[in-house]
Amino acid sequence: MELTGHLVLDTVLWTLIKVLGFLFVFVLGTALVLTWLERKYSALLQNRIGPNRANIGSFRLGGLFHMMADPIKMLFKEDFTPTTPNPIMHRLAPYVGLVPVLVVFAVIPFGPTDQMQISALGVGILFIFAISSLNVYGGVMGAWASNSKWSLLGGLRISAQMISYEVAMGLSLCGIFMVYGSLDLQSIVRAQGQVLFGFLPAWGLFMQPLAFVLYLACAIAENKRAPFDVGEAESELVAGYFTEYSAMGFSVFMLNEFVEVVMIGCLGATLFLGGWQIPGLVEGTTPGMIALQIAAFLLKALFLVWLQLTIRWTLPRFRYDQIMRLGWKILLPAALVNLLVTGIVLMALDRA
Amino acid sequence: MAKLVDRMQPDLVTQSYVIEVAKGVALTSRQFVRNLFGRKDTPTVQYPEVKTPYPARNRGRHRLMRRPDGQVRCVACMLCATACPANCITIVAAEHPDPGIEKVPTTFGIDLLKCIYCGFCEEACPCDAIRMDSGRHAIPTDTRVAQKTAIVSLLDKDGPSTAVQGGEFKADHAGGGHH
Amino acid sequence: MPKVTIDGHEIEVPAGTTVVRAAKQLGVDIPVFCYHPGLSIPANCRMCLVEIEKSPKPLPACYTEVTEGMVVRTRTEKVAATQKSVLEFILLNHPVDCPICDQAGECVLQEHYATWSTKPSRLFHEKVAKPKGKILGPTVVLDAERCILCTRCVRFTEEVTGTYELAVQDRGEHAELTNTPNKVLDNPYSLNVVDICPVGALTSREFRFRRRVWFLDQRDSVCTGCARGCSVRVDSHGNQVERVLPRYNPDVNKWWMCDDGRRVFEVRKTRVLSAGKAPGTSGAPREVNALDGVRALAAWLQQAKTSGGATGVALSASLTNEDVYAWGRLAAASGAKVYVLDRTAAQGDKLLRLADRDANRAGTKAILDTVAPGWGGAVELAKDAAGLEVLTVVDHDIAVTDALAKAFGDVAHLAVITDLSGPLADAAQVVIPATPLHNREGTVVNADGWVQRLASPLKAPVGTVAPHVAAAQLAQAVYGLELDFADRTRPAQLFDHIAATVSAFQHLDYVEVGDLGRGLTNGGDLAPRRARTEGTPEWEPDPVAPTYPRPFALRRGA
Repeated sequence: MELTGHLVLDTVLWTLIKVLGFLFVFVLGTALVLTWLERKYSALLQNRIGPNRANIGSFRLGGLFHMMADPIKMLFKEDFTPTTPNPIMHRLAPYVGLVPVLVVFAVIPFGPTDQMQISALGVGILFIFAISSLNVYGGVMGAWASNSKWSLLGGLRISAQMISYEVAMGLSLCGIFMVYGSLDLQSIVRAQGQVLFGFLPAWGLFMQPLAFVLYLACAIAENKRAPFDVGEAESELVAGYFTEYSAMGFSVFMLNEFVEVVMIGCLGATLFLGGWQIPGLVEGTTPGMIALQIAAFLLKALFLVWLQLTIRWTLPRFRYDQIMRLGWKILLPAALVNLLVTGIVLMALDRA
Repeated sequence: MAKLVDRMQPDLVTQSYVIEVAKGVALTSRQFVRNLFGRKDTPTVQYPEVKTPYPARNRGRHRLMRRPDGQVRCVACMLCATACPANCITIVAAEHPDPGIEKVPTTFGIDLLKCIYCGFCEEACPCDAIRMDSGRHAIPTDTRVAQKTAIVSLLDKDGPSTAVQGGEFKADHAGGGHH
Repeated sequence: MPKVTIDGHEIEVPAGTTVVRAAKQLGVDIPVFCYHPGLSIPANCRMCLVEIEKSPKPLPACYTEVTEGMVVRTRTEKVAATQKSVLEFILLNHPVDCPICDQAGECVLQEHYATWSTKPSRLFHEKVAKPKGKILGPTVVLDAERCILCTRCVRFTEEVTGTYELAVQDRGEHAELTNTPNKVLDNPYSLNVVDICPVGALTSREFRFRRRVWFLDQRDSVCTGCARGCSVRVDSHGNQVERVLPRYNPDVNKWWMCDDGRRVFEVRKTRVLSAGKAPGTSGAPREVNALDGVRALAAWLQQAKTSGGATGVALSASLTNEDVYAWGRLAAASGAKVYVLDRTAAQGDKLLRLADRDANRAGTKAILDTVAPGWGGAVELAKDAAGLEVLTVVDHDIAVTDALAKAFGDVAHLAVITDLSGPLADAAQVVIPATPLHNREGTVVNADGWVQRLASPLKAPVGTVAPHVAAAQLAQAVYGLELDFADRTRPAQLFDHIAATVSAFQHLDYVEVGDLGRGLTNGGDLAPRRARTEGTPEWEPDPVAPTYPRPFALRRGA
């Protein structure tokens, strides 16, 4: 089956298929599995058993059914709305947070050929910056509309934290554009197919190692997950900005978090791990090759998801002032230095 | 006394976090693999299916002992109710047909929701009538009524006492004791 | 008066005083079992043996009268050895079944053994078996094994009631308390033998096994069973009266009280009013609490005030002085006629019980003479009834005679403030639930003009009102009167008003009335101190009666 030969399909239908396949099956599927995996995996890291009680008949499958049981429970729980002057805003906030994160996936190239991208946007990375920053509105709106001091403090923390790390993240990715000379993600991935010094793939990880570290740190901070989860620090703020959420409101916030984990994995894989590139393999044209390279992309994304999970269950939470100091005094200068050095090297290479 | 600890002075490499995070990830990952293939480090007991035996001197739910002829040992002296710091024992006494026994409880109720399982009642009992060696733990319920143990359920528990009046313990007396 | 030295302290006492009384005045405790100040002295328990100089043997302190220059020693080794021997002897056949004995906790044998001996028993034979749970009469049951043969009960039936129902039969270790032939212990004062029994041999059939004594809360009060007004101690647990005991009062009842008085609470419990009553909107009666009942009565009184109809207030002669004063003032200020109604008379006797069963007739009379002169009785009420638009009856078990029933029927509107159900509550259109007399504070005056304080450990039932509070509410709501009391006025303050207004009370003060009471002035003189004339000294409560503080402190109320 040759996909390019079948482009008789309506563009809308084709896009829908991509949305369904990539976004709903992979992204949301992974996020769903993550709700169970995070608990089970953390249990394995910490010598615990983890969730293992949900069952169908006598089948437990290591508690895999928890990921089905939880949404069902959440659907049927009372959706409690606190006494607030903004009940509509309170109801809306989780979705305002979720939609931008899902939209970001539109420009992620999950396979070779231009069709393996929901939308081939020339300014892809800028689009990601623009949209993913909207994510913070969800948390802040929810915090404000909850009419609770815990929520408000959590909301203030996440907004400050996200703005701070947005800067360092943007700067750290600038090096990538400079190296590959493009803002289009598909072009960046293609450029990573080159070979460095004869053996090393020209992945972002090797071209910009510091940028990768900065990206990972900033991305985790953006996602408000441990060790940067002061916005929901349960020992201080009950549950931070979603303290007053229950049932589906709460679970959408959680889903939001897991989708963002996948998003960071996908973006990281695209920019630093060579996207769908398999070293030694050219861009696929046969269905088998394409499938292989899609699988490579997904595996790389999942690797980064695993890395985030492990980091989240390895490191203790930073103090709020430490987060701010790290962001502004270490990550931002480091990103600037990275940019400077990249610029100098590029100019030197140009001259040479 | 508070112990003074020197503030850690990490070097630049440590402060960069990268190495340390990698070490941490390695540590947790090693534990993950260990736990994936065997549960040597996991102390969790899967409670309803697996039960750890109670220690021999565990104080569980109360039981009322019987005389060799099957009657209640309790003479309703209310010393347990007097000793009870939680005030959870309710005894209603009545005349026993045998004047040698004289007093007998018609109601022996324990409000297990108030009970703190301190064991003062069995300490106070002069006739070895109440014991907490049943090996049963507190009743897990969510209603007030189910926590009140009436005389019937207390009397249902076990066989005659192994002790004789006066405090001597007969080792050869086969009974329902758990010691 | 002879001067005597006891344990180095000198005291001068009237001739004829026994050593044990003289020692008591010095604060020296001499343990006794058989001695009771209200009974003759047999000196048969030998617990009170003390050393007296120039006497070769220890002498019983309860029986030996003091002589000039007598030197008594109560804390010598010899006395201690004697006391230990006596206790060992008494305990020889005692079953020591304290855990199931009702007396435990207020047992004199327990107390004395713990204080003076704590020696273990040396008996290795079987103890002598005697009847247990033997019923001596309708109220008392005997455990002969516990009996220490002090003969207090025997002497009580001989000397106080004169009924001779009890005796000790056989001798030595077979000696046993029993009924005299063909007699049962059924005199109206029979339960006093339970009180004076120092051990658990005699127990009340009613209180037996009901509650361990250390769970009881004690409160000093007055018996309201008859016009005698015996001083009592009310023992309660939770919000329930468990028993009533006489309390020593030399001016009223000395050490005793009748069996009926102890049952006042039990009897009233069977007749307690379940709810108030008032006409509903459809005319059918509805159940009301005290507040709604007072509102219904206030509406009637308002109507009568507007139409100029006559009103009347009928007071029971058993109310507290404070109730009588409040209602008297209200009636006088609103122009209502006051009537005083009685309880059914009973059989009286020479000892304590009086035919007049109203607890406060003397006080009612004295107060009404001042605040509402011209008050009448049942006869006047029968005469006036037809002309009355509203009659308010403040009840405490008023006897509804035929004449009274007819009078109540003649009244246009009948309201009753009561805590009892019965014909009176049935006859009334409005019934206001009253706080029972035994749940309230206040004062009553007995037949001899002796003022005593009433108190109860019980909480007032919800939805009831004390009559004096109802009077204050009506005075304000209906007449807008500025009286010297309001619905929040405490009985103690009301008593001060009574003392200020009523001449017979003028020298009295609520605090000063105290536990034992004070006499009314009787035309300038104090009321005669009835019992004092018989020469009983001030300190004379039964030295072993369970009136001292609890044997050990307990932490609980419920």
